[in-house]
Amino acid sequence: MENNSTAAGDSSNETKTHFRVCRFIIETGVKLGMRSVPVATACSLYHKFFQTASLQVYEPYLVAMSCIYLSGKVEEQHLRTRDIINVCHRYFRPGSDPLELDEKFWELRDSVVQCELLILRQLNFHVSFEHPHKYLLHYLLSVRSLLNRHAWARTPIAETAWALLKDSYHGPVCVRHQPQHLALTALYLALHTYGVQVPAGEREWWQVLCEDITKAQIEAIMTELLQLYDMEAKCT
Amino acid sequence: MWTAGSVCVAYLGKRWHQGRGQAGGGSVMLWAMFCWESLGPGIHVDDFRYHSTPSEVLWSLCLNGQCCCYCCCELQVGQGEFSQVHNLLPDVSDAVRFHSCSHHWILSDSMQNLRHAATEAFQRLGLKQRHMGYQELGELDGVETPQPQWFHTLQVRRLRAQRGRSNSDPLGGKNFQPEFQWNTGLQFGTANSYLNLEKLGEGAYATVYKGISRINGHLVALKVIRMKTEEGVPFTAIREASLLKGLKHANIVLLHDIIHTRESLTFVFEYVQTDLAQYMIQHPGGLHPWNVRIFMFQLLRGLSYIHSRRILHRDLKPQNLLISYLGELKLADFGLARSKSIPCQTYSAEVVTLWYRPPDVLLGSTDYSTALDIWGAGCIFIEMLQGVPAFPGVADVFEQLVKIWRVLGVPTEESWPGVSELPNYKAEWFLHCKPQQFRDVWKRFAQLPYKTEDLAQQMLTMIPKERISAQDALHHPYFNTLPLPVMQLRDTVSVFKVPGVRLETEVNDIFSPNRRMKSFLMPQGKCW
Repeated sequence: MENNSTAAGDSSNETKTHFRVCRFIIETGVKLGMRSVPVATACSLYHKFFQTASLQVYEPYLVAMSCIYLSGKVEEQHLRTRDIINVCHRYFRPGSDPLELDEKFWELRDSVVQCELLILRQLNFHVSFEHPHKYLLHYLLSVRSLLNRHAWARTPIAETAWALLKDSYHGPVCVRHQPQHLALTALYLALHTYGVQVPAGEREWWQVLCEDITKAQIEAIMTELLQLYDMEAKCT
Repeated sequence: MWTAGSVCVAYLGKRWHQGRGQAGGGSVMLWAMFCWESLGPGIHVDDFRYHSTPSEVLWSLCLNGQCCCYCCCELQVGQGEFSQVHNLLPDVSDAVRFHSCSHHWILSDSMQNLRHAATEAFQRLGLKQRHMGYQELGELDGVETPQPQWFHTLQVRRLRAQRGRSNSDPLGGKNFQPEFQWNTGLQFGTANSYLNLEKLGEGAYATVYKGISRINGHLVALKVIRMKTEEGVPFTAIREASLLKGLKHANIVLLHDIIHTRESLTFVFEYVQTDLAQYMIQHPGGLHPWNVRIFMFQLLRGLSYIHSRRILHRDLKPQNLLISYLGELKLADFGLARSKSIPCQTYSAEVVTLWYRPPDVLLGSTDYSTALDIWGAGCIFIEMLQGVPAFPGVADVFEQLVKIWRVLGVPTEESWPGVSELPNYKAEWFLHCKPQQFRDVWKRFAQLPYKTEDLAQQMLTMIPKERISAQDALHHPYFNTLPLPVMQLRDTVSVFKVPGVRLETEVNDIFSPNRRMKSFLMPQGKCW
């Protein structure tokens, strides 16, 4: 596989590399027909792994492939190593034929399998994550009941919040914050994007949905999310 | 009552099988070595008990109210008897294990060495040798009143040891090495820290061995998972490890350690003597109703714990419920079942049983939830009382469903809205099965108070949404006869810590048919 990572230990370069690799995971996941949650698990595994490991030591794209494979096992959407390898091969060399089943292919497959064990060891088998998706769904239902029916129909709040949440996996936001907080922030940002006001009672709507979050926390996570969108402009 | 100096080695040179002929097959000498050195001077010993029965030896020593004994045994008998002895040791405080530098675990070593060591230590303590053995413990004098600071070290260390006990990082992330050295220099997480003793069983993807830890002498169950070169770590193993790592509960099997090598992955579990399936084989014809209550309470306690963490067991059956010698029940074999499609056939020829599967899942529903495990628990409840499985289907899903219909009646769109939309539903199932009273189907219910049947009925409700939850079931009147403190236990505390909770002797025992008559001779705290 090609190595796009730069050897320089510059942290902004590292962030860019991680962004690109996560983009790769998400794209590959879509091509392999993975559901949102397994893709989210693959990204979380990747971020968790590189929280403690160094980019100089481990090839990020190999780790990413193993993360995809492992997340299929964890989330019980089983994937075949051969499919993963072929899809990844196509990602790097668009339009090329699938790999021959030769020595090189078996070596590649063995490295993916070995790297899976490495990830398991590095993460100490903590590979089940609680994802914000189910919380977002729950919050969306609650907020919809609070809003005017027409205001809801006019604006794509649900789609935007969902997209924001999926995009958040480009960065390590998912392993740094609680799933509830992340889901709430995605919804908050989506509502603000379209200028939709949620009628406030004694407390703000988000305080009702999630009791342990503060305005400052929402803003901090929002900043991180917006930085990811800046990153996209730099990386592509 | 006696206190010990720096090192006190109590030598109880009693042949415990004395007076019962040659039944032991060899001489078993038990040596208790109480190593106070690292615990600080002057630990107060307020109770010393020595139980000897034809089949087992149980020593316990109460330190400051905590059971905490250190026992070295040397045997010249088979491994089986050795483990029996070991298993019966009370839950030894980890603190003592961690802190006793001079701890020796001697397995079939020469007896001479030990005798030597003991004699020496006794001389140091100024104990007099008596005619046959050494001075009896009970006759030691020089009692001092307990000082609060004596207990301090023990308690503080005990807490620390408890927390880090159960995963692959048993020291809780702390480095204990400088504080005390392991005698053997062995580490957790390496294969040679454990010794395989015997094979216990073989599953679809793993083989289970009984083993002994060379670090601390614990018996362990070693689950060796075969790795497939093309597929890597089996997903069931990944699920099992990742789920169990987050679960700490008295009724969930404890995962001590994970050992990975290139070829295999080994999970080190706590060793639990038997399982419910074997227990029911040993005691045929239905279990003692009191014991059923204790087992059910523990089963529901475990389920309530995992359900509160949004984890389903999905493969409940008597084989997966481990039973310790005390009667502690522990859920085991996590992650063996899949979420969306429960396996009908594993990779080996062994067919996963359908007996404990609820009707909604048999009908092909995939959006099952915690009610799935409750049905399985209900089936096990009846099996424990009745002595035979509740719904022993033979061939396939349809026969299994018919078995259930015969008791609960055939569901209709009126009695179960939405049932006709399930994939396996067939409109032609008009067997004219009327719902029946459980007491007419399973005779044991007629002999027991109504609340027993009521709980079973609530667990085996056809519609999953209406099935009782594990949490509610724990507060069912059926459990009112248990001592009240069982309701307020912390997660990691076993129900057997509550006074008054212990197993009754089972009526039927295929190993010792006459047991019941002489059961009053047995020391308390024994079960079977």
